[in-house]
Amino acid sequence: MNELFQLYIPASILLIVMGLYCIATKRDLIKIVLGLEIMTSGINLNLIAMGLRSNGVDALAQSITLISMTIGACVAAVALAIIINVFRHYGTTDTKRLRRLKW
Amino acid sequence: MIVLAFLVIEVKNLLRALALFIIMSSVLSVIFYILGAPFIAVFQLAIYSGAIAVLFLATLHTTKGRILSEKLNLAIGLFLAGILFVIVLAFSINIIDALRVVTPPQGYSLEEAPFFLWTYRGFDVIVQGFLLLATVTAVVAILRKKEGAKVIEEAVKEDVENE
Repeated sequence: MNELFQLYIPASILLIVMGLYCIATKRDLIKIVLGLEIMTSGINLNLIAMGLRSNGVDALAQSITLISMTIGACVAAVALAIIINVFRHYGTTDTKRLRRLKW
Repeated sequence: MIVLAFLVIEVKNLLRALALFIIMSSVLSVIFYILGAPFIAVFQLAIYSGAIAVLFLATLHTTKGRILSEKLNLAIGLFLAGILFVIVLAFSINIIDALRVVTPPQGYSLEEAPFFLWTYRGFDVIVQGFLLLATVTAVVAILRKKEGAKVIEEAVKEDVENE
């Protein structure tokens, strides 16, 4: 169990860092939301790995992970709706071009 | 999984990135299952590999034009649905076993089931209900047709007709 803990915690941290990198460096809005989802996946893995016990995963950790998943899905839905609205208004999802189109 | 996440970030084609994201979510679901959380594994599959992927695909269709032909769309949809069905079927035996473990102690009856749910999982249900309601309201508010835009369109049409 301890070995699993040592393996999954760094993996989850790596996923969070990769999601952050994607949000910080990518120009396409859809790619940025994908990065956000990768980050949420990393957080979920972290929660489950933290809740590891000798007889399985702690029920509270599972419960919190479920809430985190719902929040992730809600954030993705709202973000994608905003992207569609931005595309309708400006005709692009490129953040660099959006910056130029400021009024 | 880390390699898949890296590919999702670095692949230029958004459709390929989305396909890799679906695979990454499925791998994460298998990891959850191995760690001993079958419920979370199934929710990961249903929400991330299913619902969110469909939302992304719909956004890609809207913003980047039609990206797949009708027949290819149908074939991919059926293929993914088949894989999901097989995975859920494979998990279902363990899920039923896990349900047996989660159920309340002896003397449990059908009348006590709502009590158990609201006593131990009431907070989760309320929070998630509010979250989903807020999301639906937000998405409807964001995507609704604006009156102002219609007025501007009509004004432009009138100008064109006058000219």
